[in-house]
Amino acid sequence: MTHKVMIVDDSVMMRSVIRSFVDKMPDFKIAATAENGRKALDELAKHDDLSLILLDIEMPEMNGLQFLPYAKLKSKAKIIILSSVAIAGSPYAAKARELGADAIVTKPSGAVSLDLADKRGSELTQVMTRLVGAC
Amino acid sequence: MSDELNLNEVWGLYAEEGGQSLDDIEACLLILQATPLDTDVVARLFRAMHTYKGNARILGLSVIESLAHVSEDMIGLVRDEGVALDAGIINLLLEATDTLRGMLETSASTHKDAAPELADALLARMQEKSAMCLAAKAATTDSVASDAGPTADVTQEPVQSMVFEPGAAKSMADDPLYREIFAGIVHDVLLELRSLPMADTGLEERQTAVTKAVGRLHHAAKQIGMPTWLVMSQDFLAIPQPSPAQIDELLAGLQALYGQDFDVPAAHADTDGSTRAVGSEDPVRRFFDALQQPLGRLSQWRNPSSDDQGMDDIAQAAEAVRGLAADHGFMRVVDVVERVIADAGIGIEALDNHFGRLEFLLYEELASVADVMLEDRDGLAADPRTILRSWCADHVFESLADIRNAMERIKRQEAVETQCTRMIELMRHLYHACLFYGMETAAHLSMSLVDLFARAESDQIAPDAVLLHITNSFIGDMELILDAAGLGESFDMAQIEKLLQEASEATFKSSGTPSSAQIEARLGLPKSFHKVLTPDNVKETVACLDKGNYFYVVRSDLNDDEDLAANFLSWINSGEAQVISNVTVFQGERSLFDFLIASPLNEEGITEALAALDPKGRCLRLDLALLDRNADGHDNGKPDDPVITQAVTMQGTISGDMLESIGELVTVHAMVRHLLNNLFEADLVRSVETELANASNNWQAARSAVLQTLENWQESLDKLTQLELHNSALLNRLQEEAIAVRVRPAGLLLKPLVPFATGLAARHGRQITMTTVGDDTELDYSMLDSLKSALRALVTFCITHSIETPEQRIAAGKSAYGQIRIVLVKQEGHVSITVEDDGVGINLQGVVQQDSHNGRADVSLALREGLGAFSNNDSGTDLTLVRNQLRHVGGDLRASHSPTGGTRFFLALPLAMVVLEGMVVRVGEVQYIVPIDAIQRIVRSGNDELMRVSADNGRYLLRMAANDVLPIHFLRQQTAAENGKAFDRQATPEQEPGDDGDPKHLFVVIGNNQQCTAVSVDELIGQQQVLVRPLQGYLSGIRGVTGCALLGSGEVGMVLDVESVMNQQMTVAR
Repeated sequence: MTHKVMIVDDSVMMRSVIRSFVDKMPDFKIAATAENGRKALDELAKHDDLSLILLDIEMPEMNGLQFLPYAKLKSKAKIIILSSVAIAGSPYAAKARELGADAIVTKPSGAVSLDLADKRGSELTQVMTRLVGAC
Repeated sequence: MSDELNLNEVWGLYAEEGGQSLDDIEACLLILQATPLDTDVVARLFRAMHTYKGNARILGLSVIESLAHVSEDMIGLVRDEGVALDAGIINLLLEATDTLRGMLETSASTHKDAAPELADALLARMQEKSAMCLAAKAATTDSVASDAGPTADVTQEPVQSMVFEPGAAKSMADDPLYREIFAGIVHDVLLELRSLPMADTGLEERQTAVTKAVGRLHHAAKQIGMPTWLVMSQDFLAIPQPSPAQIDELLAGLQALYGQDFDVPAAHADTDGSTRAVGSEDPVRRFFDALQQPLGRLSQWRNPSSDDQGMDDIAQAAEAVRGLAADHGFMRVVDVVERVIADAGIGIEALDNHFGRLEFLLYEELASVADVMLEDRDGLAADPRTILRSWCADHVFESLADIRNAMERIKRQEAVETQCTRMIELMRHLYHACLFYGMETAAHLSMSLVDLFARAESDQIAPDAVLLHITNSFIGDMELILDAAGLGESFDMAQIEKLLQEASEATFKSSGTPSSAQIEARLGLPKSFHKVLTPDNVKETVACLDKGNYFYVVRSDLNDDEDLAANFLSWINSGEAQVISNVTVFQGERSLFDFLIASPLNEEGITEALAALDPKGRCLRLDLALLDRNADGHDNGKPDDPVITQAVTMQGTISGDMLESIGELVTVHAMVRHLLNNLFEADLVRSVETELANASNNWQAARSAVLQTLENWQESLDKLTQLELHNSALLNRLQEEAIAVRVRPAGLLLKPLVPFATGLAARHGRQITMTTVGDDTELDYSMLDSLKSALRALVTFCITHSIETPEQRIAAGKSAYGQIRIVLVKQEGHVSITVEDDGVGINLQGVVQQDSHNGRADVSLALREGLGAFSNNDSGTDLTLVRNQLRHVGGDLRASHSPTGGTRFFLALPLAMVVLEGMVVRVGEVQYIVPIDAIQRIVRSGNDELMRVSADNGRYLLRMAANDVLPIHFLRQQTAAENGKAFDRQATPEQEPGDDGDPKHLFVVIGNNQQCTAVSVDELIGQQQVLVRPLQGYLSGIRGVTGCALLGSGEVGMVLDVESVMNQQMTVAR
C-alpha cells in the first residue's frame, strides 16, 4: 500500500530535499505540497486520503502550530513536525505535542547528505514508517 | 543516493531562494526604519531570515547558518521578547544582510561554506548588542514587576506570540461546514442585537452587549477567513462608545451582508422574534449541547450507582456521540467512540480494560474541536475543555501512581516501549490536571516531558537516567502540591508557580545536561560543528565523556569506494568508535564528511584503526584530536557562566581541589616511574661487581665504592617510599573529596515527608504529628531515591492501617493526634531507619510465631500472611515491592510491634560509598577487611587457650584470662556456607606452628567494651584505607559482609559486617 504524504514548508529548497528523500521510500508518495498552513488547508480539502503530513513550524500567513489543530479537525493524517526550532523539550515542541502532533523530528544539518549515517534521515524514515503502521 | 538528490538543483534553489529571502529582508528593514512598530513586518522579517538560515543549515554551511541564526535571534528579541527595534539593531541587520549576500554568491558558486573570519567581527558585535538589549529589557521587566507587586507574572512564553493572524484561514470560508457554522454565529449575533433595549437609558448596557457580540463575530470572521465581515466588525470595534445610530447602522449592514453572503431567505434574514425558533443556534454549540446527555451516560460507567447500566446503554450513548460527531465531520471523535462501541460489543472486560483511556482521548478530541470552533464557551452545556481538565484532576493521584509504576518498569527494562507510550498518556493527564489547578508552569513541564518520552519512544530507545531522574523529581513535587490542592488547602499559586519554575531550572541544571555550546567549548570543536549538535548528540557526548572516551574529527571521502564506505560504517558502529555527528564539506563537486567521533582508543589507536580501513590513507584522515578541556583543567572559555560552571561541576562531579589532587597524582606517578626506570637500568649486582673489580685488592676503596653504590640505591628506595606515602595521602584525599561531592543531608529526604504525611492523613480522616531524627546525617545522593519511595510507602502504611481516626484514639484514651517518628542513623556500613507509630499496629498474629523469641517478624512472611491484603490498595502501598527493591540493593525491611502497640518498621540500606580504614586479613583464599574501629586487639594463641564446649555441638571459645572467654567466629564457615559447602563445626581454628613448635592460632578480636568476638583468620595482610561499595543484585544476599572494596593488591576484599557477626554470636550464645 502506498501512503500519501503532504509536505508543508515555506522553503522551496527544503520541500525539494524532503521530496527527494520521500521519493526514495517505496511505500510513500508525495500527493501534495504547500508553502504555508493556509495553502495546506486548501490541499487538505482536495486530498482526503492523506496518511502523513510533514509540517514545518515557521511559515508565513499560517504557521505550522496554527495549522495543526485545523488539520486534525479535517484529516485523519498523522502529523510529523519537521522543524529546526522544535528541539527536544523546547516550548515549541511542547506546544506541538499539546496540539496533537504525532511525532517531531528536528531538521538535520547537512541533510543533503542523507545517504550516509545521517541519523535524522533514518529517524524520519523510522517515524514515518511507524506512524503509518499505526494508522 | 546523492545522485537521486540532484545536488546541482538543490544548490540552484539555494541561490534563488536565498536571493529572494535577502531581498525580502532588506525590504522589511527599510520599512521598519520608518515604522519600527509594525509587528507584521517584523514577523515577515523573522520568517525570511529563518528560511535563509534553514537552507544554509540543510547544506551544512555552518558559518553562513551561524550568521543567519544570530540575525534571526536578534529579530526574535524584537518579535518575542519585547525588545525595541532601534537604529542600532536595524543597521546591524542590514550589515548582516550585506554579508550574507556576499556569502550567498560565493557559496552558491563554489558549493563551499564561507570563511569564518568573514563573519567573526560582525557576529561579536551582534551578540554584544543582543546581550545589551536583553539586559535593558530585564532591567525594565524587573522594574515593572516590582511596581506591580510580588504576584506580577513576568514569565515569557515565546510560543504564545504565535497568535492567529488576520486572514490566516481564508480558505475555510469555502468549506460548507465552516460557512454553516459562521452563518449560525451571525444569525445569533443579529438576534441578540435586535433583542437589546432601545431606550437611551440603557445605552451603556447596550454598548457593552453590542461590543461583546460583535467581538465574537470578529473572532469567528478571523478564524474562518471572512474578510468583509472582519473589516466591518473591526471598524465597529474601533469606535470607543458607539452611538445608537452607529449601532443601528451596524445592524443594518450586518443584516444586508448576511442576506448577501449566505443567500438567506428574507424570513431568516429578518431576525425578529417570529423567526428565532427556526435554526437560530450555532451548529457547533448545538453539537456540544446535544453531547451533554450521552456524555453524561458514558461518564457513569464504572460508577457504583450504575451497576445496572448495561453494555447496550453504553453502546447507545457512544453511538449517539458518534452520530453527532459524524454529522459535523469530526472524524477523530468518531474514531474514538467507535473504539468504545467495539469494546462494548466484545463485552464488559474489554470495555473495562480500555474505557479510562478512551474516555480521556474522547475528551481530548472534543476539547480540540471546541478550541478551534468556539470562542465563547459561556453557557455551553458540556464544555469539553472543562470536562477534560476536571476528569484529569479527578484521576490525578491514580495517574501519578501509574507514572511511578511505569518509571519503575522502565528502570527494570520491562516492556520499555509500552511503558513509554503509557508515560506519554499519563503525562498528558497530568498536564490537564495542572491546568485545572491553574499551574501553568507545571503543565508546561509535563508537556515537555511528554515530548522527551515521545522522542525516546520514537527512537525506540529506553529513556535515559537523566530523564527518569527529572521526571521522578517532578512527580515528587507534584504529589505534594496536588495533595494539598486535593485537600482544598488555599495556597499562594503564584508562589508555587515560582517554586516550580525554580525547581525545574534547578532540576535541569543539576541533571548536568549541558548545552551544545558548552560541549562545543569543552571539546574545542571546530567552527564547522558550531550549532550542529542536537540534544541527542549532546547526551551521547556526555555519555562518552563519562566513559572517558577520546574525541576526534575524521575527514572522509567515501564517494568512490563502496567497500571502504561499508567498512567505515561498520567500524563506526562496532563499539570501537561512535559517531556523534557529521558535517558536510564540499570540495568542488565532491561531498566529503567530517565525522565527530568518540572512541576509547587513544590517538595512536585511532590512527592505526583508520590505517587498517584505508591503508593508503587517501580517503580517511584523522583531522583533529580533541581535548576534553575540563579534564585537563583548561579554561572552557566561559568561566563566569554559572550555568556552565554548575552543569559541568555536577556532571563531572570534579571540584577544583579534586583536579589539583589528580594533577599531583599524575606528577607523583611520573616521578615514581622515573625512579623505577633508573633502578631497573642500574643493575646493582653488576655495579657492585664493577666496583670490586676496579678496586683490585684495595678493599678499603672497594668498600667505600660499594657503600656509595648501596647508599645511592637506598636513597632511591627512600624517595620511592616517600612518594608512595605522598601518593597514599593524595589518594585518601581524593577518595574523601569524591565522597564529599556526592553527600547530601538526610533532611532533603525527611523534611518533605512531613507535609506528605500530614496531607495524606487528612485525606484519610486522620490527624498526625511527625518527628524526624537524623536530618543532618550525610548520605550519598544515590541513596536518597532508594529511600524516598520506601519511606513514603511505610508512612502511608502507618497512616492507612495503623493510626486510628481522632474519635477512635480519644475513645482509646490517646491523643487525637497520632504520632509517627522516623529515626535515621548511620551505622557501620549501613543506614538504619526506624519508622514507628502509636496506632493499633499490625496484626502479626500467626506470623511472629516463626520468630517469636525476639519478637521480630520476617516482613516477607508478614506481608504474605498479614499485610499482603493491604498491598496495592487505594493508597498505592505495596510493601512487598518496597522490600524487594531494598533487598535488590542489599537492604532489608522488617516489621514488628512498637512498645506503644503501634507499628514499627526497621529499614536498613548499605551505604553507597564509604571510605574505611581496615585491617586486611586472609581466610583461605578470601581476603576480608575488618574495620579498624571495631578491632579490640590481635591475639595469637596456642591450643591451650582454646576451649571446646561439648554441650554446644563442640563449639570453640577463646580463653583470654581466667574468667574471660570469647566466642570464636569462623569466617571460613561463612565462606563455605556461601559456597554451598558443608562446614565441619568440629574443625579447629586455623593454626600455624609457633617458635616453640606449638600450633599458634590467629584471632582478630572485634567488638566493644561490653561484648567481643574473636574472629579466626589465617593471616594479617596489613592496614589499608579502602573505598567500600555495596553489594548489589544476587551478591547482596551474602550475609556477614557490608560490601566489597578493591585492595591495593588489585584483588577484591569483602568488608566484614561487625554488627552482623556480633548478633550472630549473641544468637548462638542464646
